[in-house]
Amino acid sequence: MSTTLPAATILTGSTVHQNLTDPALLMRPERLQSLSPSRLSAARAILERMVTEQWTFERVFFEVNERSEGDALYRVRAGDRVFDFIAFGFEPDLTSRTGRITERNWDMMGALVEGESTDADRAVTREELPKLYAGRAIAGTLTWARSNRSFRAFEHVVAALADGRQPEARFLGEIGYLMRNTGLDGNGTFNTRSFLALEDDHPLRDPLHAQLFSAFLMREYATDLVEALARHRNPQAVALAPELRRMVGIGNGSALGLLFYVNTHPHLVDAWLSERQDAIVEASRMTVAAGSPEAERWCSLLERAAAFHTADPYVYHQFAEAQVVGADLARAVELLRARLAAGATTGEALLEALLPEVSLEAWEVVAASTLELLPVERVRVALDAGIVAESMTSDPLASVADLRARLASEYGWALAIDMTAPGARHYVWYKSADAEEPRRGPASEVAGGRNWALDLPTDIQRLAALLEGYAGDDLVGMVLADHPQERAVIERVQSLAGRGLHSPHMNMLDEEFVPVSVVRFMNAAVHGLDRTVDEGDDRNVLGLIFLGAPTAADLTAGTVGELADWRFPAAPFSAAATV
Amino acid sequence: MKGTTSVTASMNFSVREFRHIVGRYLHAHGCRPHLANPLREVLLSAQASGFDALTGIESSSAAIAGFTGGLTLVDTEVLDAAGQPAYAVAPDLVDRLLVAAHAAGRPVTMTVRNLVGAEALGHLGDYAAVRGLALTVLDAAGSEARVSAVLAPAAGAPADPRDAEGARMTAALTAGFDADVDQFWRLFHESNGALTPDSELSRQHAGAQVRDAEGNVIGEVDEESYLYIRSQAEQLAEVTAR
Repeated sequence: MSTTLPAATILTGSTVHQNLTDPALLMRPERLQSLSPSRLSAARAILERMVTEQWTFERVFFEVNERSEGDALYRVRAGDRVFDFIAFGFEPDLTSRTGRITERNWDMMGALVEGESTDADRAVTREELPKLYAGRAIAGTLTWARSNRSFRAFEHVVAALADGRQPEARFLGEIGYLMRNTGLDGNGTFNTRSFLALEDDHPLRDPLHAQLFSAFLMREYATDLVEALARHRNPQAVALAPELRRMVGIGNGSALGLLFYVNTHPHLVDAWLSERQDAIVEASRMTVAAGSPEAERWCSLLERAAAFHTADPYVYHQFAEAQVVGADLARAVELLRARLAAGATTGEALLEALLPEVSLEAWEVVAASTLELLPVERVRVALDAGIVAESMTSDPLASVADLRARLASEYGWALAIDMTAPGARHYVWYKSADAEEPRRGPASEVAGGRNWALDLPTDIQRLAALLEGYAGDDLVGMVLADHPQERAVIERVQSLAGRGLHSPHMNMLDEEFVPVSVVRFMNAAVHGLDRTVDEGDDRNVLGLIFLGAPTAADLTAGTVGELADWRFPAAPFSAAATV
Repeated sequence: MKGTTSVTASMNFSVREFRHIVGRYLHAHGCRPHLANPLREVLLSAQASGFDALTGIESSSAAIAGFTGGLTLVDTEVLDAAGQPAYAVAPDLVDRLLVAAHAAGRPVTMTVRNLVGAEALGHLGDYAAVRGLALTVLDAAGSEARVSAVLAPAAGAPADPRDAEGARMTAALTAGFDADVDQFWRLFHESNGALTPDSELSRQHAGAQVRDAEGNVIGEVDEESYLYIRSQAEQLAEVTAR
C-alpha cells in the first residue's frame, strides 16, 4: 500500500514559487512522479489546438471484414493543411500477448502522413510498416503507429452492440480503453519526418504532438472498429453511444525506455518543464474574483478532479492512492470556496494554504489547474518555447574555476550521492538484442552489450576530483586536452549551464531506485495521460490517453465548447441501452 | 507531393537514424563510452557537409576501440594524431585551435600529422563554426593536414533552434541522407553489437512477471491481466481482513 505524504513533507520551508521552480525541490524523482497532466501536456495541448483551429475529420473509408482485416482512411483538415491517417487492421492473434515491444503481433498498424495519400502511398506503407526498423516510411510521413485490442473490453462491446444495446458502462469505464497503443514512432524513426524540420506554421511542430495526434486517431479507429464488427454480426447492430465513445481513451503502457529519453534529451526536458513551471507561477498569481466565471469554472474543475480521482478503480503501489488524492482535492475545493467567499484570491494563496493539508499529488493537480486561467495565446508561447536546439558543445575558453563553481552550484545533488555505498551500483541498464527492449537488471545477471545508464553522479564526481589538479584560471580546453575521455560530461555540463530542470536528481544504478517515478513524470505531466498506474515491480506504468476527450465528431461539429470542461470526465454510468 | 518509396541501390535515412546507427556502431566496436556521442556529432556534422561518414567509420572500425580522441602536442604548431582518423580527433583539434587563437589574439596555423583520412577535415567547417571557430584547411592529403583558424564568436543562440548547427544540418533535417542500401543495413546490423544478447533471465529485466508465493516466476502477463489479477487480489485481501 502506498504512503501519501502531505505536500509539506517534501516541500518544507519554501515559498510556493520556490516549490514550483527550485530544481532541488522539483527534480527529485518522488516530486516528478507527482506532476499532473496539464494544459501544456502534449495530448491536451494538441487537443486545444484542434479546437481553437477548428480541425475537421472525415472518415474517407472503413473497409474491415468480420475478421478485423481491412483498411481505413481518416482525413483531417487543419487550416489549409490536410493529414491522412492510414490504418490497416489485422485478425488478432491473442496468444501470448504481453504488451512488450518484443512482440510482432499487432491488430492495427497505421501511419500519419501529410497531404492526401494515394493508392500507391497506402500500398507502400502497408508493405513497409510491418518491417519496423527495416522499413522505410513514405515521404511526408509523420508517425507510424500500432495498437492492440483490450481482450477484456473489446468483445464485450462488440457483443453488446450486435445485440442492439450499449455495453456495460461501468465495466467499460473501469477498463478505460478498447485498444491500447503499442507503438507511436516519429521524429525520424523509420525515416519519418524530423520534427525540427517541420515548418514554423506546421500544426504538429511541437515535440510529441504528432505522436499524440496519432493516438487520437487510433482512438477513432478503435471505436469505429467495434461498430463495424458488431454490424458484421448483426446488420441491425447499434452504434456506440457518443458519451461512451468519449469515455474511452487509448490504453498505454510505458516502461524503462522513457528514462533513456529523459537522459538523452535534457534540453527538451528543461525547456518544457521550465515553461510549464513559469506558466504555473504566472497563472497562480492571477487574481480570481469572487463570483467571476473564472472562479466558478475553477471550482467546478477541481470538483470534477476530486470526483475523478475518488472514482478511480485502479490500485496504486508507488504512487498515492487515488481516493486519498480525491479526498484532498475535495478539501482544496472547500478552501478555495472559503477564500472566494471572503473575496478575491489567487492560486498562489490557495497553494500556500494547501501545503500542510493535502498530499503532494493533490497539490500538483491544483497547481496544474491554474493553467486553465491563462489565455490560449500564453499557452501557445510556452509550447513554442519548448522547441530548442539540443547541441552538446564544450566551451574550452571557460575557466576551470567557472566549471568548478558550476558543478558545485548545479550538481551538488550528484556530488552528494555516495556511489560506494552498498547497492549504489546494483543495476545495469541495457537494450536487448531482441527488439531493442530497454531493460534493467542486476549487474551480475547481465552479460554482453554495454551499460546504457547515465551515471551522472559518478561522472560529475570524477570530473570534480580531476579539476582539483588545475588552477582556477586554467582553461577548460587544457582539461579537455589532458583528458579527452571527459569530453561528454564536460559538454553536457557546459551546454546545460544555467539551467536546472534537465536531469532528474537520481542514481539510476541504485538498488533502491524506482524507475516508475520518471516514467510517470513523462506519461502524466509531459504526455498528458490519465490514470497512470504502476503495474507492480516498479518499472511499468499504464495509463489512458484522451480519456473522456471530445471525439472527431464533436470537433467536426464544433460542439466542444470550453475544453477545460472535458477534464476529469465523469463516467456515464447511466448511459441507456437502446435497440 | 509525395513519391513512393522503392528499393534501389540507394536509400534515404534521417538524421535521427544516423545518430542511432553511428552511435551504436561506435559502441559496438569498443569506442570509449565518453567519446562515442561527441564523435557521433562530429560525424553527423561532417556528413551534412558532404563527408561519407558511413564509409568513414566502416573503414576505421578495427581502430575504434583504440581511439583516445586526443592529440599530442609535438611543438607549438604541430600536433600528432597517433594514427587516428580525422573525425576521432576533431573535437580535440577544434578545442586546441580555439585556445591557441584566443591566446594569440590572431589567426593561428597548425599542422596535424599522423592522421588517417586527413581530407575529412575539409568537412568540419560547420562543426567548428558552431563552436566559435572559423576553420580553413590549407592543405590536407594522406596523413597530414595544415589548418588555419581564427575565433569567430557565435552570435548567441540562433533565433530558430533548427539553425543551431548550421544551414547544412538544417537541410539535412529536412532531406535526410542517402546511403548505399547494403552498406546502411550492414552497419545497422553491426551496430546491434551494442545491444545485449537475449536470454530467459534477461527477459525478466523488463515486462510484468507473475510470481508465486516463493518469488519464483510462473509466467508473464500483459498489463491488462496484471491489473485485473492484482485488483482481484486486493479485493480478496480486504475480504479476508474483515
